[in-house]
Amino acid sequence: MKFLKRIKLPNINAVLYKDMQQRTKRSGLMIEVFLVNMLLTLIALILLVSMGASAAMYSPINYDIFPTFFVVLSFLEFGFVVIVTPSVSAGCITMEREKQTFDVLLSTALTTRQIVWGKFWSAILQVLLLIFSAFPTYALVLMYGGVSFIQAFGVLATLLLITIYAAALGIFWSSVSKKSMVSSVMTYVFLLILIFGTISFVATVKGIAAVINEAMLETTGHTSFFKGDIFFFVLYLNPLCTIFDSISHLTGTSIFTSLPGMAGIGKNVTDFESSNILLMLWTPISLTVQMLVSWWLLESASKAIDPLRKKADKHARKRQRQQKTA
Amino acid sequence: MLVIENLNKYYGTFRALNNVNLTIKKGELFGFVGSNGAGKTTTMKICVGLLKADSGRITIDGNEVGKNTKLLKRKVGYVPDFFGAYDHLTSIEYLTFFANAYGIYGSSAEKLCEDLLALVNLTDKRNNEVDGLSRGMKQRLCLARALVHNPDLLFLDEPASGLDPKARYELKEILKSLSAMGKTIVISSHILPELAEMCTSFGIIDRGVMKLTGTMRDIQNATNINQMPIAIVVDSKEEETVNILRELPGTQYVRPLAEGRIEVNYAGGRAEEVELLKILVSRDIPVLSYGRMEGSLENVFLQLMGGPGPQAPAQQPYPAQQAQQPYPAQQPYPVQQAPQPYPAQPGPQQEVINR
Repeated sequence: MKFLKRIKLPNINAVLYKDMQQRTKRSGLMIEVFLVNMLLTLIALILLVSMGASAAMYSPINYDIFPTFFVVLSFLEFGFVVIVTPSVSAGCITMEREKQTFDVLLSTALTTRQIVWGKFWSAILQVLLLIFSAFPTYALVLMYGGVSFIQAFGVLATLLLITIYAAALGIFWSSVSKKSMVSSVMTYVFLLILIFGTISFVATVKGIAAVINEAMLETTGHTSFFKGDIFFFVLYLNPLCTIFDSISHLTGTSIFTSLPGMAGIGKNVTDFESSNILLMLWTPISLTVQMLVSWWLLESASKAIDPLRKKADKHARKRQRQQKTA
Repeated sequence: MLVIENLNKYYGTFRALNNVNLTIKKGELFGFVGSNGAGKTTTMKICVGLLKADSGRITIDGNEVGKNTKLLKRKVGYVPDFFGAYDHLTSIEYLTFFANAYGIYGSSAEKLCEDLLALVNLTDKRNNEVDGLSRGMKQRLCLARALVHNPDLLFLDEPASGLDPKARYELKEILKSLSAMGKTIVISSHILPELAEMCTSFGIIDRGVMKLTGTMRDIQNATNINQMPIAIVVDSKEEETVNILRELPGTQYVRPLAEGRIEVNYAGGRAEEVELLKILVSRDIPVLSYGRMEGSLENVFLQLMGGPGPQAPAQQPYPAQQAQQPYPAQQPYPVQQAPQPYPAQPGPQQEVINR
């Protein structure tokens, strides 16, 4: 066993280690895990019991119900991710400010990037605990078949990346806000904008384009070049579209046919020759876009908390005027 | 060690620092004095890289602040004027976190933290949660935290505020031992007698302007605080002594205190001081002690701030109530009591004779 002691483990980010120490000592974390799993298990049991009752009345068992079961659980997990991640991440930096520990933290040899990434991973790990603790419930579905391990793994990986996206958003707002309340509200508002706002935006643009086209057709006999399809790619930012697409092979539907206002949009994407590929690879592309946005948000957060960054001085001119008059 | 040149800082249109210049030599224990909002914390925060100056230059050991932040952060330790505790962390975990933050891990971090806890007398509190420690203990822990990377220069912003006398004494002793280790310490405090006792040099800042810097002697020489009253202790004939003093043309005011002590503000220098003693002896006054009082840091500070100085006694008739003793018997002529941040100078409550 001596050789084990010789193995030098990489030094963990100090902020991450400290945050994990604090989080694991909190009784709230255990309650969160318990409640989430209790809810998921309760829903799973209701579905299984109802399935059993249905099988008793109209045998044989309808095995199609298991993928549906999986889809329901995945959407529930998505819901938890979207609800829990901002609450965990949005207070990461503002709490340091509120507890007046932030100046001391900034005065250490840690770089702002190390602080932000440490906070980010500590938030991610807490949410991952929720996701992974739900594995036994998922196993109920996998036990009966209908969903392969690869499919299940794909959905869980998507959920993990969506967690990263939501956490990065929370960390960003936490870095630019002074109060945890403000940061949490802003994170939830922006997540709602990303989820529902983008869909509404695309639907509105498409609606306007349709009206313009109709008017053009009536007056000139030709349709307008503007179809609004380019705005369609705004939906790459939407985590709901991502999770929807990742489980579309199980539901047999796609975001373009299922989501309100999206019907038929996919078929009419004409502006790009490669549009079909862009649609086919929706999940990997949207996840890549979301990871790039997450990276940008975290880098911006690092800059935002840097006390020595250059800031626009609104009062410089006023001061110069005051000095001149003095 | 630390050189500040023409430092300026604005908060909006408010000028927090106005061309501040300061030089602190290696190994000095520098007392930074100023009223609330004078610019002490702002100066310190700029020095440790927590604020950006609008103009000016700070160098620590020849390295300019803002240019090689990583190196400077390893040279500087900072104790802010508040103690923000982390929930659910014990003292040893708290220190270990900061050791890790400076890249010290594993057994070396563990040993270092144990040593630091011993230095600040908190070994028995190593497994106590930081949140549950008393204010004095937290302050000592915060000091240990600032020492975790063995910095050459320490900035302590009001470390003694809110501490009881025992905790203040313990903190003072730790600071003295750190100074003896050769650390350069910049300390701001409102408890001026303690600063005066500890520090080797001082800087007085007011509304962003550095009014005075130097040793106590330099500061006394730079102000007219060296025109302090002469303290006389007589064995008897107190009233007669007061009358003799009142008759002398050089006397500005005479203040009889308890137990044969008399304070006289006498115009002139060393020669006149000697002359006065000769006069008293020639009149058979049994003088036990005689000498000019020392100008305290507090007097200098109050004078610079426009507060009541030692030469501004109130107009009160003689004889006054002898029972009220402004000074304790065992201390012949201390100008202030240690726990009082701004004790009364000769003022309306004290017995004063004016010629």
